[in-house]
Amino acid sequence: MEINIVDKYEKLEKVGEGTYGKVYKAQDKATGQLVALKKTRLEMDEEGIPPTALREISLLNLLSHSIYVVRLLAVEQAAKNGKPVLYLVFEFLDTDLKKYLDVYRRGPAARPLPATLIKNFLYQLCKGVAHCHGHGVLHRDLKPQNLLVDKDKGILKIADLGLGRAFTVPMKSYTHEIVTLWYRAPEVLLGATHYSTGVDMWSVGCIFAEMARRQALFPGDSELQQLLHIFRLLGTPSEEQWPGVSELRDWHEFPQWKPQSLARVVPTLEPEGVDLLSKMLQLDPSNRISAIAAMEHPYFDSLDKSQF
Amino acid sequence: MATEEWALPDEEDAAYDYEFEFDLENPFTSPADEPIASLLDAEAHHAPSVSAAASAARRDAVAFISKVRFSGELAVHPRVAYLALNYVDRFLSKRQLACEQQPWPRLLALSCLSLAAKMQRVATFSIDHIQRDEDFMFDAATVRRMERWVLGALEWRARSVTPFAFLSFFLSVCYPPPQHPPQVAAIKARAVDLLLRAQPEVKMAEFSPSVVAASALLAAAREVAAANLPAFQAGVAACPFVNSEKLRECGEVLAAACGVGPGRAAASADTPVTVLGHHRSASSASESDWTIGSATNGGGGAKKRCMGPPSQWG
Repeated sequence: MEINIVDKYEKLEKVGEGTYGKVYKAQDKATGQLVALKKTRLEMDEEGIPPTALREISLLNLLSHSIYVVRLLAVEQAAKNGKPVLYLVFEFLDTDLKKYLDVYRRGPAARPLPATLIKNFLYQLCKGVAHCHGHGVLHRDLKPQNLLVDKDKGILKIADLGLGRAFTVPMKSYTHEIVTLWYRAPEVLLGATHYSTGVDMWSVGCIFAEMARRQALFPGDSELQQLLHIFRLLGTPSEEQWPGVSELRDWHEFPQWKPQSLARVVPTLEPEGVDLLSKMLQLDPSNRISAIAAMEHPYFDSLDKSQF
Repeated sequence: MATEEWALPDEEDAAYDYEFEFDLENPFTSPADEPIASLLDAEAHHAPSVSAAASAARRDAVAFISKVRFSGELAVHPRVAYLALNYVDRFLSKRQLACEQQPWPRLLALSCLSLAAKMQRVATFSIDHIQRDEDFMFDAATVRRMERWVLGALEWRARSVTPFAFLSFFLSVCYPPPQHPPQVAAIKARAVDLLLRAQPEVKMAEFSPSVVAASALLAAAREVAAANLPAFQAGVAACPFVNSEKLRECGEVLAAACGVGPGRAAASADTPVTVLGHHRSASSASESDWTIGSATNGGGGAKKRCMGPPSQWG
């Protein structure tokens, strides 16, 4: 039943040490297919497979039918020193959006991203997020590193979906490397315990702006700094603008900033794009646009949606 | 009609809205925006094979699940038993037990019950307790190993797409307006009842979950709201993915397995699900043009087969 993982997969290189553990690029020895091998740190005690992990992995399995979500190919149960170890085997894609943007950001080929490419990627991202939300699943950690890109086909796929609850304490990296806060929604930063699909749409907005700017919109290095970045651009929220904000756990008095012009921070973005961005970056999560509504926004009118 | 006292325990960790819950009626944690396409897409991965359903190992596994299921003391809920048998069927469609003799089918059933309980948050499930009457008891480590083997065979697709997942769709899309919530709820409850009872029937494996769901709902509507049946039938028939020939066949198998159909509704009132037995009226039975099942209602034998625990699940 348990396999020795090296019998089935040839580990080629370590491609990441993310929030959820080590990730290897590997090759399926039988088929030659390239895969991303994620070793989980799942503890199996006398109760066997933890119920949450069981429910979560099976959900991942159902969701990975969308082409905009990185496909879970297999779950391998291996044994190491007599203890069961679980590996999640995903399809391998050669790059992620962060690396992809780096090429445009600096070096000899630095240049703006073509407007159609931004639109195309954003639409695919919204489609993937709509798929997850439509099935009741939040991502909670959308960022360019979690969006994998198939350069040849021009396809963008969401990775590391949902892998949080069963495997780690959410929002903490087990390797103690710095977990980026840049894409984190204000309600999460303010300590809201009940949050919803809006947290992902905030991240989508940040990623959208980053594609247009070629640099992060809110590059904070602490939770407080992150909030200050956000309020400086969008204005400090009041109880009128965002009912309940002052009840949130980590709310306190912030400097009073007035909202700035969003168009100024994304100067190359067309007006429809700025309008969509402003709907994604609403401070009050209940005002934020949904993924499915975003897909209908006029910004995408010039896009040939039949290709998706 | 309350056929079940089923309530999930309160969410202990109330801090999170999403906890990857699983519900037979909604495999995707929350009502999906586009459920039917996803469900139809997924159902092919979740259907057992006919040969597996006919195997001796399946029969023995069913016997054990049925024994546990109808023994109130063991308190295994009908939906846990249902999901467990679904796992048994899907496992046997992919793998063969090394030995088809007891106690191995029982080990399979036990592991599937344990997995089904984990999926549905039944915290009180005890492996020792549930097999305390058996002459040979499996230890926890063996059951855990078997759990992992089962999951491997299922490819970790533990969110089974069963007929339960299609009930809401058919009722909301195909049931004629105006939809009276109590009536619709009664039809659904009766359909659930029929699904639970028909599952052990080997021939049910021939039909896809969506077709089984439609058949159960039509059979239920026939009893509960016969006047609406023709319109409901027409609505179901209009679904492009419902094969009318399969639907007719499935209706016959279901009716035979549960002892329902024209003139039989009264006899079916006492279900194994409601241990206390609700005696329901047969008023709707004779005034309908419902013909499914009339040809193959194998007399009292079919009826009796569904009447009680435990051997009838074979």
